[in-house]
Amino acid sequence: MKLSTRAYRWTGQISLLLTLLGIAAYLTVSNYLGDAERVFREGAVTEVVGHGPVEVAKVRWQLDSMQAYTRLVDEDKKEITMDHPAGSVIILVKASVTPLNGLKMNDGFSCEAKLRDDRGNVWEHTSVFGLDLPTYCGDDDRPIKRNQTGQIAQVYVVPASAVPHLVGIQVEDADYEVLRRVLLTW
Amino acid sequence: MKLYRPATVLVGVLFVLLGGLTRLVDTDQVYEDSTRVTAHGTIGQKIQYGDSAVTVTRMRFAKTFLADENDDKPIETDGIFVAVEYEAYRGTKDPGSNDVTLTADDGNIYESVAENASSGITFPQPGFTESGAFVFEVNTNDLKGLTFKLRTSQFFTGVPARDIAVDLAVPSDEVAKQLVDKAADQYVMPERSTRVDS
Repeated sequence: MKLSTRAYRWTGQISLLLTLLGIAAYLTVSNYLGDAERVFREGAVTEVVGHGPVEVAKVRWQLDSMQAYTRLVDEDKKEITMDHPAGSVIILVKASVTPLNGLKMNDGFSCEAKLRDDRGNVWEHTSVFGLDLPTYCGDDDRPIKRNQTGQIAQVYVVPASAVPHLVGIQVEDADYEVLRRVLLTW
Repeated sequence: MKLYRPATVLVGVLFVLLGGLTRLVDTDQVYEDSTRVTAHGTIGQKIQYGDSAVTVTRMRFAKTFLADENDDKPIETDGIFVAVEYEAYRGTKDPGSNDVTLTADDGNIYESVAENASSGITFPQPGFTESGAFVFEVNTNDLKGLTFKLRTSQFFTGVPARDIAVDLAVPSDEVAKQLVDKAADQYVMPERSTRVDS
Protein backbone atom coordinates (compact mmCIF):
# COMPACT_ATOMS: atom_id res chain seq x y z
CA MET A 1 0.00 0.00 0.00
CA LYS A 2 1.30 3.39 -0.96
CA LEU A 3 2.02 5.96 1.66
CA SER A 4 -0.35 8.49 0.05
CA THR A 5 -3.28 6.03 0.01
CA ARG A 6 -2.75 5.32 3.66
CA ALA A 7 -2.58 9.02 4.45
CA TYR A 8 -5.86 9.59 2.58
CA ARG A 9 -7.57 6.81 4.44
CA TRP A 10 -6.31 8.06 7.78
CA THR A 11 -7.49 11.58 7.11
CA GLY A 12 -10.90 10.25 6.13
CA GLN A 13 -11.23 8.06 9.18
CA ILE A 14 -10.03 10.68 11.64
CA SER A 15 -12.29 13.38 10.23
CA LEU A 16 -15.28 11.01 10.37
CA LEU A 17 -14.43 10.20 13.98
CA LEU A 18 -14.16 13.88 14.86
CA THR A 19 -17.48 14.66 13.16
CA LEU A 20 -19.27 11.88 15.02
CA LEU A 21 -17.72 12.90 18.35
CA GLY A 22 -18.71 16.49 17.71
CA ILE A 23 -22.32 15.56 16.93
CA ALA A 24 -22.49 13.33 20.00
CA ALA A 25 -21.13 16.05 22.26
CA TYR A 26 -23.48 18.64 20.79
CA LEU A 27 -26.56 16.42 21.15
CA THR A 28 -25.65 15.63 24.75
CA VAL A 29 -25.26 19.19 25.96
CA SER A 30 -27.55 21.11 23.61
CA ASN A 31 -30.43 20.62 26.03
CA TYR A 32 -28.56 22.45 28.72
CA LEU A 33 -26.78 25.18 26.82
CA GLY A 34 -28.08 28.20 25.05
CA ASP A 35 -31.71 27.18 24.81
CA ALA A 36 -33.16 30.64 25.18
CA GLU A 37 -36.69 29.44 25.73
CA ARG A 38 -35.70 27.05 28.45
CA VAL A 39 -33.54 29.64 30.19
CA PHE A 40 -36.44 32.07 30.02
CA ARG A 41 -39.00 29.60 31.30
CA GLU A 42 -36.80 28.74 34.22
CA GLY A 43 -37.12 32.35 35.30
CA ALA A 44 -33.81 33.89 34.31
CA VAL A 45 -33.57 37.66 34.09
CA THR A 46 -32.19 38.67 30.71
CA GLU A 47 -31.61 42.37 31.37
CA VAL A 48 -31.16 44.54 34.41
CA VAL A 49 -31.86 48.24 34.18
CA GLY A 50 -32.11 50.89 36.88
CA HIS A 51 -35.33 52.80 37.33
CA GLY A 52 -35.85 52.81 33.60
CA PRO A 53 -37.37 53.95 31.39
CA VAL A 54 -37.20 50.75 29.43
CA GLU A 55 -39.36 49.48 26.60
CA VAL A 56 -40.69 45.98 26.99
CA ALA A 57 -43.30 44.57 24.63
CA LYS A 58 -44.19 48.04 23.29
CA VAL A 59 -44.81 49.45 26.73
CA ARG A 60 -42.39 51.89 28.33
CA TRP A 61 -41.87 51.25 32.01
CA GLN A 62 -40.40 53.46 34.65
CA LEU A 63 -40.13 52.54 38.29
CA ASP A 64 -41.17 55.43 40.51
CA SER A 65 -41.22 54.14 44.05
CA MET A 66 -41.44 51.13 46.26
CA GLN A 67 -42.71 51.27 49.80
CA ALA A 68 -43.52 48.71 52.45
CA TYR A 69 -46.77 49.03 54.40
CA THR A 70 -48.60 47.05 57.01
CA ARG A 71 -51.99 48.39 55.93
CA LEU A 72 -53.42 50.25 52.96
CA VAL A 73 -56.18 52.84 52.97
CA ASP A 74 -58.53 53.90 50.22
CA GLU A 75 -59.44 57.42 49.09
CA ASP A 76 -61.73 57.88 52.10
CA LYS A 77 -58.94 56.86 54.51
CA LYS A 78 -60.69 53.59 55.23
CA GLU A 79 -58.59 50.50 55.55
CA ILE A 80 -58.63 48.28 52.48
CA THR A 81 -59.40 44.70 53.40
CA MET A 82 -57.06 42.31 51.74
CA ASP A 83 -55.66 38.92 52.45
CA HIS A 84 -52.36 39.35 54.17
CA PRO A 85 -51.41 36.80 56.82
CA ALA A 86 -49.61 37.66 60.05
CA GLY A 87 -45.92 38.19 59.45
CA SER A 88 -46.41 39.47 55.95
CA VAL A 89 -45.80 42.94 54.60
CA ILE A 90 -47.59 44.81 51.84
CA ILE A 91 -45.31 46.23 49.19
CA LEU A 92 -46.72 49.06 47.10
CA VAL A 93 -44.87 49.73 43.88
CA LYS A 94 -45.63 52.78 41.77
CA ALA A 95 -44.62 52.69 38.16
CA SER A 96 -45.19 54.88 35.10
CA VAL A 97 -46.33 53.03 32.03
CA THR A 98 -46.61 54.36 28.49
CA PRO A 99 -48.31 52.25 25.83
CA LEU A 100 -46.43 52.87 22.59
CA ASN A 101 -47.30 52.64 18.91
CA GLY A 102 -47.91 49.11 17.75
CA LEU A 103 -49.33 47.84 21.02
CA LYS A 104 -52.66 46.07 20.78
CA MET A 105 -55.07 48.04 22.88
CA ASN A 106 -58.74 47.45 23.32
CA ASP A 107 -60.19 48.59 26.62
CA GLY A 108 -56.73 49.17 27.90
CA PHE A 109 -53.87 46.73 27.75
CA SER A 110 -52.26 44.24 30.03
CA CYS A 111 -49.38 45.44 32.11
CA GLU A 112 -48.08 43.10 34.70
CA ALA A 113 -45.01 43.36 36.82
CA LYS A 114 -43.78 40.81 39.30
CA LEU A 115 -41.76 41.51 42.41
CA ARG A 116 -38.39 39.80 42.63
CA ASP A 117 -35.85 39.28 45.37
CA ASP A 118 -32.14 38.49 45.25
CA ARG A 119 -32.77 34.81 45.98
CA GLY A 120 -34.84 34.39 42.83
CA ASN A 121 -38.24 34.42 44.52
CA VAL A 122 -40.96 35.98 42.40
CA TRP A 123 -44.26 37.30 43.73
CA GLU A 124 -47.30 38.01 41.65
CA HIS A 125 -49.31 41.08 42.35
CA THR A 126 -52.44 40.96 44.49
CA SER A 127 -55.59 42.63 43.27
CA VAL A 128 -56.69 45.45 45.49
CA PHE A 129 -59.73 47.68 45.15
CA GLY A 130 -60.05 51.26 46.28
CA LEU A 131 -56.52 52.59 45.91
CA ASP A 132 -56.17 56.13 44.61
CA LEU A 133 -54.12 54.81 41.68
CA PRO A 134 -55.24 52.26 39.09
CA THR A 135 -53.82 48.81 39.77
CA TYR A 136 -54.17 47.56 36.22
CA CYS A 137 -53.99 49.09 32.77
CA GLY A 138 -57.57 48.37 31.72
CA ASP A 139 -59.22 50.56 34.35
CA ASP A 140 -62.15 52.28 32.62
CA ASP A 141 -62.29 55.10 35.14
CA ARG A 142 -58.65 55.96 34.73
CA PRO A 143 -57.70 54.92 31.20
CA ILE A 144 -54.17 55.26 29.92
CA LYS A 145 -54.06 56.51 26.33
CA ARG A 146 -51.56 55.59 23.67
CA ASN A 147 -48.29 57.48 23.91
CA GLN A 148 -49.38 59.05 27.16
CA THR A 149 -47.84 58.16 30.46
CA GLY A 150 -49.99 56.97 33.30
CA GLN A 151 -49.07 55.90 36.79
CA ILE A 152 -50.16 52.55 38.16
CA ALA A 153 -49.76 50.90 41.52
CA GLN A 154 -48.98 47.24 41.97
CA VAL A 155 -49.51 45.61 45.34
CA TYR A 156 -47.61 42.57 46.56
CA VAL A 157 -47.84 40.58 49.77
CA VAL A 158 -44.50 39.15 50.87
CA PRO A 159 -43.15 37.62 54.07
CA ALA A 160 -41.49 40.24 56.26
CA SER A 161 -38.24 38.27 56.14
CA ALA A 162 -38.06 38.82 52.38
CA VAL A 163 -38.18 42.62 52.53
CA PRO A 164 -34.40 43.22 52.83
CA HIS A 165 -33.89 40.93 49.86
CA LEU A 166 -36.25 42.66 47.44
CA VAL A 167 -34.45 43.97 44.40
CA GLY A 168 -37.08 45.23 41.99
CA ILE A 169 -39.88 44.40 39.62
CA GLN A 170 -39.60 42.28 36.54
CA VAL A 171 -41.47 42.82 33.32
CA GLU A 172 -41.65 40.16 30.65
CA ASP A 173 -41.99 39.90 26.93
CA ALA A 174 -42.82 36.25 26.45
CA ASP A 175 -43.04 36.50 22.67
CA TYR A 176 -41.34 33.41 21.33
CA GLU A 177 -38.88 35.40 19.25
CA VAL A 178 -38.07 37.92 21.95
CA LEU A 179 -38.11 36.21 25.34
CA ARG A 180 -37.00 39.16 27.45
CA ARG A 181 -37.30 39.46 31.19
CA VAL A 182 -36.26 42.89 32.37
CA LEU A 183 -35.53 43.67 36.00
CA LEU A 184 -36.08 47.26 37.10
CA THR A 185 -34.24 47.87 40.35
CA TRP A 186 -34.83 50.50 43.01
CA MET B 1 -18.44 -11.21 -3.28
CA LYS B 2 -18.38 -11.40 0.43
CA LEU B 3 -20.21 -8.48 1.94
CA TYR B 4 -19.24 -8.77 5.63
CA ARG B 5 -16.48 -10.53 7.41
CA PRO B 6 -17.62 -13.07 10.02
CA ALA B 7 -16.10 -10.90 12.76
CA THR B 8 -18.27 -7.95 11.71
CA VAL B 9 -21.41 -10.07 11.78
CA LEU B 10 -20.40 -11.38 15.20
CA VAL B 11 -20.02 -7.86 16.59
CA GLY B 12 -23.45 -6.98 15.21
CA VAL B 13 -25.09 -9.99 16.85
CA LEU B 14 -23.27 -9.15 20.09
CA PHE B 15 -24.75 -5.65 20.11
CA VAL B 16 -28.27 -6.98 19.54
CA LEU B 17 -27.80 -9.41 22.42
CA LEU B 18 -26.44 -6.66 24.66
CA GLY B 19 -29.46 -4.48 23.92
CA GLY B 20 -31.84 -7.30 24.81
CA LEU B 21 -29.93 -8.15 27.97
CA THR B 22 -29.96 -4.59 29.30
CA ARG B 23 -33.72 -4.54 28.80
CA LEU B 24 -34.03 -7.76 30.75
CA VAL B 25 -31.87 -6.51 33.62
CA ASP B 26 -34.06 -3.54 34.57
CA THR B 27 -37.54 -4.80 33.77
CA ASP B 28 -39.14 -2.02 35.79
CA GLN B 29 -37.56 0.62 33.65
CA VAL B 30 -39.32 -0.68 30.59
CA TYR B 31 -42.76 -0.14 32.07
CA GLU B 32 -42.04 2.70 34.47
CA ASP B 33 -41.51 6.13 33.10
CA SER B 34 -37.94 6.98 33.97
CA THR B 35 -38.63 10.70 33.65
CA ARG B 36 -40.76 10.67 36.82
CA VAL B 37 -39.48 10.47 40.37
CA THR B 38 -41.80 9.60 43.23
CA ALA B 39 -41.06 10.66 46.81
CA HIS B 40 -42.69 8.40 49.40
CA GLY B 41 -43.71 9.50 52.87
CA THR B 42 -46.12 9.14 55.74
CA ILE B 43 -48.63 11.36 57.54
CA GLY B 44 -46.90 14.26 59.30
CA GLN B 45 -43.74 13.97 57.28
CA LYS B 46 -42.55 16.99 55.32
CA ILE B 47 -41.94 15.69 51.82
CA GLN B 48 -39.67 17.69 49.57
CA TYR B 49 -41.17 18.64 46.24
CA GLY B 50 -38.38 20.41 44.40
CA ASP B 51 -37.60 23.32 46.69
CA SER B 52 -41.20 23.35 47.84
CA ALA B 53 -42.60 20.81 50.29
CA VAL B 54 -45.87 19.07 51.09
CA THR B 55 -47.01 17.65 54.44
CA VAL B 56 -50.14 15.58 54.93
CA THR B 57 -51.12 16.71 58.41
CA ARG B 58 -54.22 14.65 59.10
CA MET B 59 -56.49 12.00 57.69
CA ARG B 60 -60.12 11.64 58.78
CA PHE B 61 -62.91 9.22 57.96
CA ALA B 62 -66.41 10.69 57.92
CA LYS B 63 -69.92 9.56 56.98
CA THR B 64 -70.97 12.99 55.69
CA PHE B 65 -69.23 16.23 54.96
CA LEU B 66 -69.92 19.91 54.59
CA ALA B 67 -68.01 21.70 51.85
CA ASP B 68 -68.38 24.92 53.79
CA GLU B 69 -69.26 25.55 57.40
CA ASN B 70 -72.19 27.71 56.28
CA ASP B 71 -73.72 24.88 54.26
CA ASP B 72 -76.84 23.50 55.88
CA LYS B 73 -77.10 20.21 54.02
CA PRO B 74 -74.35 17.66 54.50
CA ILE B 75 -73.29 15.52 51.55
CA GLU B 76 -73.93 11.82 52.13
CA THR B 77 -72.54 8.62 50.70
CA ASP B 78 -73.04 4.85 50.75
CA GLY B 79 -69.28 4.50 50.99
CA ILE B 80 -67.11 6.58 53.22
CA PHE B 81 -65.54 9.99 52.91
CA VAL B 82 -61.81 10.24 53.48
CA ALA B 83 -60.59 13.74 54.25
CA VAL B 84 -56.90 14.49 53.75
CA GLU B 85 -55.57 17.72 55.22
CA TYR B 86 -52.32 19.11 53.91
CA GLU B 87 -49.88 21.95 54.19
CA ALA B 88 -48.01 23.14 51.12
CA TYR B 89 -44.85 25.19 51.50
CA ARG B 90 -43.73 27.11 48.46
CA GLY B 91 -40.03 27.55 47.71
CA THR B 92 -38.41 29.70 45.06
CA LYS B 93 -39.11 27.70 41.93
CA ASP B 94 -42.55 27.54 40.39
CA PRO B 95 -43.87 24.06 41.26
CA GLY B 96 -46.21 24.01 38.27
CA SER B 97 -49.58 22.35 38.62
CA ASN B 98 -50.58 18.93 39.86
CA ASP B 99 -53.45 16.53 40.40
CA VAL B 100 -54.14 14.56 43.54
CA THR B 101 -55.80 11.16 43.86
CA LEU B 102 -56.29 8.42 46.41
CA THR B 103 -55.37 4.91 45.42
CA ALA B 104 -55.96 1.62 47.17
CA ASP B 105 -54.26 -1.74 46.83
CA ASP B 106 -57.09 -3.07 44.68
CA GLY B 107 -56.17 -0.51 42.11
CA ASN B 108 -59.08 1.89 42.35
CA ILE B 109 -58.25 5.54 41.85
CA TYR B 110 -60.42 8.14 43.57
CA GLU B 111 -60.55 11.81 42.73
CA SER B 112 -61.39 14.64 45.06
CA VAL B 113 -65.15 15.19 45.31
CA ALA B 114 -65.66 18.57 46.95
CA GLU B 115 -66.75 20.89 44.19
CA ASN B 116 -65.15 24.01 45.57
CA ALA B 117 -61.78 22.38 45.94
CA SER B 118 -59.39 22.21 43.03
CA SER B 119 -58.16 18.91 41.67
CA GLY B 120 -54.65 19.54 42.92
CA ILE B 121 -52.66 21.39 45.51
CA THR B 122 -52.35 25.06 44.67
CA PHE B 123 -49.08 26.34 45.98
CA PRO B 124 -49.01 29.82 47.52
CA GLN B 125 -46.52 32.55 46.67
CA PRO B 126 -42.86 32.11 47.70
CA GLY B 127 -42.24 32.06 51.44
CA PHE B 128 -45.82 31.21 52.37
CA THR B 129 -47.46 28.00 53.51
CA GLU B 130 -50.98 27.11 52.57
CA SER B 131 -53.19 24.63 54.35
CA GLY B 132 -56.27 23.00 52.94
CA ALA B 133 -58.08 19.71 52.58
CA PHE B 134 -59.35 17.27 50.00
CA VAL B 135 -62.31 14.96 50.44
CA PHE B 136 -62.50 11.65 48.59
CA GLU B 137 -65.47 9.31 48.36
CA VAL B 138 -64.15 5.79 48.83
CA ASN B 139 -65.55 2.27 48.66
CA THR B 140 -65.52 0.78 52.19
CA ASN B 141 -64.37 -2.59 50.82
CA ASP B 142 -61.35 -1.09 49.19
CA LEU B 143 -59.38 0.73 51.83
CA LYS B 144 -56.33 -1.44 52.32
CA GLY B 145 -53.12 0.34 51.39
CA LEU B 146 -54.80 3.70 50.94
CA THR B 147 -52.28 6.12 49.46
CA PHE B 148 -52.52 9.82 48.75
CA LYS B 149 -50.82 10.58 45.45
CA LEU B 150 -49.80 13.84 43.91
CA ARG B 151 -48.94 13.78 40.24
CA THR B 152 -47.26 16.74 38.61
CA SER B 153 -49.22 17.59 35.50
CA GLN B 154 -47.33 20.57 34.17
CA PHE B 155 -43.61 20.95 34.49
CA PHE B 156 -40.58 22.08 32.61
CA THR B 157 -39.00 19.57 30.30
CA GLY B 158 -35.48 18.43 31.01
CA VAL B 159 -35.97 17.76 34.70
CA PRO B 160 -37.72 14.62 35.94
CA ALA B 161 -41.28 15.25 37.04
CA ARG B 162 -41.66 14.85 40.78
CA ASP B 163 -44.57 12.93 42.22
CA ILE B 164 -45.52 12.31 45.83
CA ALA B 165 -47.05 9.22 47.42
CA VAL B 166 -48.14 9.39 51.06
CA ASP B 167 -49.03 6.17 52.85
CA LEU B 168 -52.20 6.86 54.85
CA ALA B 169 -51.53 4.03 57.31
CA VAL B 170 -54.28 1.55 56.46
CA PRO B 171 -52.17 -1.63 56.38
CA SER B 172 -54.95 -4.19 56.57
CA ASP B 173 -58.69 -4.75 56.19
CA GLU B 174 -59.11 -4.94 59.99
CA VAL B 175 -57.63 -1.48 60.47
CA ALA B 176 -59.82 -0.25 57.63
CA LYS B 177 -62.92 -1.70 59.30
CA GLN B 178 -62.05 -0.05 62.61
CA LEU B 179 -61.54 3.29 60.90
CA VAL B 180 -64.89 2.99 59.10
CA ASP B 181 -66.67 2.02 62.36
CA LYS B 182 -65.18 4.96 64.16
CA ALA B 183 -65.79 7.39 61.32
CA ALA B 184 -67.02 10.80 62.39
CA ASP B 185 -70.63 11.70 61.63
CA GLN B 186 -69.62 14.84 59.86
CA TYR B 187 -66.53 16.51 58.49
CA VAL B 188 -66.43 20.23 57.86
CA MET B 189 -63.95 21.19 55.19
CA PRO B 190 -61.56 23.79 56.53
CA GLU B 191 -61.16 26.96 54.55
CA ARG B 192 -57.93 27.25 52.65
CA SER B 193 -55.64 29.57 54.53
CA THR B 194 -52.23 31.01 53.95
CA ARG B 195 -49.59 31.86 56.52
CA VAL B 196 -46.04 33.01 56.48
CA ASP B 197 -43.68 30.08 56.58
CA SER B 198 -41.94 29.79 59.92
